[in-house]
Amino acid sequence: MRCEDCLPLVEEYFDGEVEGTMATRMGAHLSACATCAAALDALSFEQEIYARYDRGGLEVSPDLWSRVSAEIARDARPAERPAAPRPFLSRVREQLAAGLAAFAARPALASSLALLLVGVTAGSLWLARRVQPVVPSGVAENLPPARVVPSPAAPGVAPGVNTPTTGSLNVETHDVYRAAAVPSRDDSREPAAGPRPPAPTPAAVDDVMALLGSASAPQANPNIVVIRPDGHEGADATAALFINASAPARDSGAASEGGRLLDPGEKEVARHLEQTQMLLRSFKNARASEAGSLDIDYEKNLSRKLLAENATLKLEADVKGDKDTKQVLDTIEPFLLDIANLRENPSRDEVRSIKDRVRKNEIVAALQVY
Amino acid sequence: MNERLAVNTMSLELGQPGAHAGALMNSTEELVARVRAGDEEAFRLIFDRYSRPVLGFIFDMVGDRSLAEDLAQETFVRAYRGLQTLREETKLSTWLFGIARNCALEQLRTRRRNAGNVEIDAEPAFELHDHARTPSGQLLDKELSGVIQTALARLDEDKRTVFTLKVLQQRSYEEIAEITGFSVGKLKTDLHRARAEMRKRIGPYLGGEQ
Repeated sequence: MRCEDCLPLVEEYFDGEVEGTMATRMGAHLSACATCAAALDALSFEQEIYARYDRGGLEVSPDLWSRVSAEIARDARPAERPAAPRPFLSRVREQLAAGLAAFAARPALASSLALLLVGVTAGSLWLARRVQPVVPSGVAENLPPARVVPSPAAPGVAPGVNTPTTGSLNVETHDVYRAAAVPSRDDSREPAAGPRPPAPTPAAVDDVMALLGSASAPQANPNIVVIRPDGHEGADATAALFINASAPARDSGAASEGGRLLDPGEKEVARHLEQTQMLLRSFKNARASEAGSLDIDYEKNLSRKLLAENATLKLEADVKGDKDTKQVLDTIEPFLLDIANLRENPSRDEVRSIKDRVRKNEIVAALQVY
Repeated sequence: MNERLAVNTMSLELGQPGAHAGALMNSTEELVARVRAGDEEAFRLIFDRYSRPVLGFIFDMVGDRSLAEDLAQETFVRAYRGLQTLREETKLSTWLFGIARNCALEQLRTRRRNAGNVEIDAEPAFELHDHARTPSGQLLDKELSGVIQTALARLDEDKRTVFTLKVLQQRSYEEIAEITGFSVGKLKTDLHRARAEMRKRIGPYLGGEQ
């Protein structure tokens, strides 16, 4: 191999991304060519510098999980989110509630009207079932699938409430994560199509809406999808719902819970374990050639340094009687030893056996948790 | 610290099942399955496992501690909401980094718009003392970190992403390609250029050791 072939691949080789015979050839060339070996050494030196980058002691603050958790909890309890304005349904519900309150004072009238209500309800349902979906062609296809999927809790409800309309369509859902900007279509711009199904009277539509509003409160059936004739109010309400749901939850109270600054010794241990984790990750990613060797000088040197640190930290932990820290350091020591003691140009199998142990013990993941 | 270590020590003791065995006792697939089944504690374990590298990555991208925390929060919330869409559970890590990258890039673009299209490259360089008096042997790690952070901020977004993931997070090319959606060819080119730019910027602080 010539330097012109080797030098452009030195970075890839250093990154453990050159495999097979090419890696073997490069290894042979690098051991014989001072110029190319110097390029590899320079990369190794740079990597050592970057390994010292500590992001100004950046740590995961104790309240970060509290914040994530609070946000997730809001997802799990949609009914507890701040209520977004739903003018149309609210109005219908309020009217119905007011009417029922008045009837409660007059039992006879209430009974009669209850019977009447049953009749109206049955009629409305019958009407609703007969009504064909009249979403103009082109609009239905453009609706996101989530909007028209009926609730599993009430199969068939959503198709049943599709109502014919000549006005703009408005889609309203109580599942805020399905809510988004509402497609609308101005009928005046719509080309005259073929015959339309008969449109129900506005009163019939109101009946259906009233029925939904009273019987299917969001808490009871959160996924019901309502398509109704309306202007832009619903769209605004939906957008408001979405915005409310997206607002970040900042639990100021949680911020002070469980927070404790690490003392310098603890920071040193944390940093040591992080460096070990990075070393093991780097080692895991190093790739041996098919039959040849692998240049892992950087990992070996770092292992030696970390091994010395490990011994010091273990001693300190021992003196402090910190058994837990000592145990963690004991656990990583064999890995550091194995890497540090690898011979020059180790074989693929030698490297693989350590890699396998690192992988099997999930030591990198364990150190990440730290 | 002791509490954390106790948990982590348990995590390191493989083959000893326990109620609080922690993240290590659970494979990624198991954790994802448990979260999908509504187990919030499993998501806590995922958070514990990945919050540190994710936060570090975001910090390298945006260069602001408080903002990085906000974006890490956003990353995990988005991950929780979108976990059902994760197809390969074993690739949770690269998936999380992908979300983190999106969050960081959205923020950087917003910031750039708000700053009247001032490029991040326009930020003033981190100035130290006379270069001749700061050989690497004497340069404190803190100062070195400042130099690296400033040099990182001056890379363009693609180069910064690739450099951070490879050099600082030790991800493989394959993983970086999955996280970024870049081809391996592009990421190799970006990485080579990023290394060269970083070398140029931190070189003066390293004295004659290079």
